[in-house]
Amino acid sequence: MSNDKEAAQRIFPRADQKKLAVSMASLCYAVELLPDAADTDDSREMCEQIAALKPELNKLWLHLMRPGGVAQAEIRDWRHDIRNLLNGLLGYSEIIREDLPDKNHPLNNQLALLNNVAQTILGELENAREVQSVLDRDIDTVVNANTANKYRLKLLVVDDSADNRTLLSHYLVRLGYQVMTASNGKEGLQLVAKGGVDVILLDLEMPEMSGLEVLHLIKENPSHRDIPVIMVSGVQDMHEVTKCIAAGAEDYLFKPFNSALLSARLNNCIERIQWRQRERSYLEELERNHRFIRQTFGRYLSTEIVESLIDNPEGQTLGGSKRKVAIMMADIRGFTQLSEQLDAEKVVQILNTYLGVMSEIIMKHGGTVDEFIGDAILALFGAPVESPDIADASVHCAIEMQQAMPLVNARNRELGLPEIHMGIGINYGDVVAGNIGSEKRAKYGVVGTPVNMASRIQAISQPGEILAAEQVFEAFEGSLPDRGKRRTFIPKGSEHPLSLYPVNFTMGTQE
Amino acid sequence: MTTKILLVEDNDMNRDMLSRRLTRRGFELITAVNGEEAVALASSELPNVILMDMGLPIMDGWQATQVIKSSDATRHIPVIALTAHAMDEDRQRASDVGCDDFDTKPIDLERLVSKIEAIVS
Repeated sequence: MSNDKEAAQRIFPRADQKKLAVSMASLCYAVELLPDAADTDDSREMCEQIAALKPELNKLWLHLMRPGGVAQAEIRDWRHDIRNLLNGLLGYSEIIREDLPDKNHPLNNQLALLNNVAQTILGELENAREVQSVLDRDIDTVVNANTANKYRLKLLVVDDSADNRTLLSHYLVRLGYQVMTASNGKEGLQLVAKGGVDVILLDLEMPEMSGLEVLHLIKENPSHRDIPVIMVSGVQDMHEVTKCIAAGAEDYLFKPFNSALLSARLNNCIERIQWRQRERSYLEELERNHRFIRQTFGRYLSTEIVESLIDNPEGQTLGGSKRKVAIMMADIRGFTQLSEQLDAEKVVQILNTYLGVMSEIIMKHGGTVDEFIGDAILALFGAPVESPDIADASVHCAIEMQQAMPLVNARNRELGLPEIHMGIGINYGDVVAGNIGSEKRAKYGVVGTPVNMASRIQAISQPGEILAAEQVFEAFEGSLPDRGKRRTFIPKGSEHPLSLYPVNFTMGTQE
Repeated sequence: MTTKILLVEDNDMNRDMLSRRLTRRGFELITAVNGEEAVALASSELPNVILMDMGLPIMDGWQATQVIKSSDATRHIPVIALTAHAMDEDRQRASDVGCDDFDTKPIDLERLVSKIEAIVS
């Protein structure tokens, strides 16, 4: 079987290939983000030179990701090309570094990461050796399992002739597949829309809607585009078949069917499905890396955090220090429900407006957005940078955030989006702040009971309300804000009741 | 007197990058994009050292080095082979065609500069 031969020729062991692929993808993203951090014409020019490597890098990455990977015969050139590419990348990044006015420049941090990833890739390159990839064995197992009726793929047969449907179903069931049938294009599309179809066998010549038209409609739909379609044709019309392949059909079959050929082509499709699933999991891992890089570079975190990480190399280590902070949790009320009713794009629009406006206010008050958890914001006052009046700052900040909601809602209305309302909970107490997590995925954050309590307080706040724990007011340096009647609350898992006060404020704009 | 380097590299980006970096280190740079140009510039410019990429169009670096090393006018010019192949067989082949030294990409500038300085002194 050619599969075995190909597998035997694979050059990277599975784990190494994966590491290599992830590093290369991280590099793609890092390279792309680089020009954003440049602040002089010279450094921007150089960053853009580096960013221009992305297509080539992408090409080499895709080669690695191909089902056969990089074969024995190709490894010499592949490795040559990547070394050449890294040569340019590392060289330019050294030039940029030489020109940086000081070591704390944000670009330096980004270039250091770029260099680390590049060095990892160079190290991985040396791991190339001839082994049968475990991954390939996985695929073989799946393919074999399929022929042994274990892997039940769902096939949809679309054919206007009842005889053909019966015949084809019969074959396919015998091969171990689950089969659904449709007698015309419209019916077929409805079944596809319901979901769960793994492969489509589509008759080319049908009345009303032709196979080609149906194919176009499937391939136009982003959520169905990846379903492999095999065209089935009664007249041996190569011209039409070519059009179908151009339009995205995976393969074709001529009637009358040859069951061996049918089975071989289906196996082929299954391999492709497996491949796509694998690709998706790679892409998910990439996405995680991407987020990591963005966080490292402070697109969402305040500059203080990033700077404090750069200034204190020991801050890069795990663990942290105990300190007093004010913790604010803000959350959009009924957001889960809202996100179920609206489509994803609108949800993202609402979130972007909201989170954008709120982070700006938080940073203005010296707070740090520690985390966005869905629609919730966790902000810290007093970490990583200590300051004297953190309790005051947190409450003033919360007031301004509530006062900004009409602005957020005005923007939402302009875009035809629904209005949203926010509840805020504030707590004050001792937490451990620092880099928390595994060595690979450390992030600045805080842990401790006061953090959990802040979240509980937020959960019972009303829409448009600010609810703060008594400790917040006790820590006030300046004059106390106007507050409402005391409420007591026994949080789940705690014996001590918490005293809470709603903060009174007017909706008139400050400034 | 400044050291004059002939850098032979067909990849635009790598040529631009390395010549910028070496210029910053005070070297005088001339560049060629293929083996034929390299041979011509070697005899007309008589550089102090040649940095030769091996995978070049028209005439590759192996051939160009052989030509340079077989001519009385240019034989004395040291040639440092630069390749993105890190294999021992490439190192051997470079020495076989007459290269005086060998370095691999990605370039470690400090290492390369010390090789250049050692070879021209």
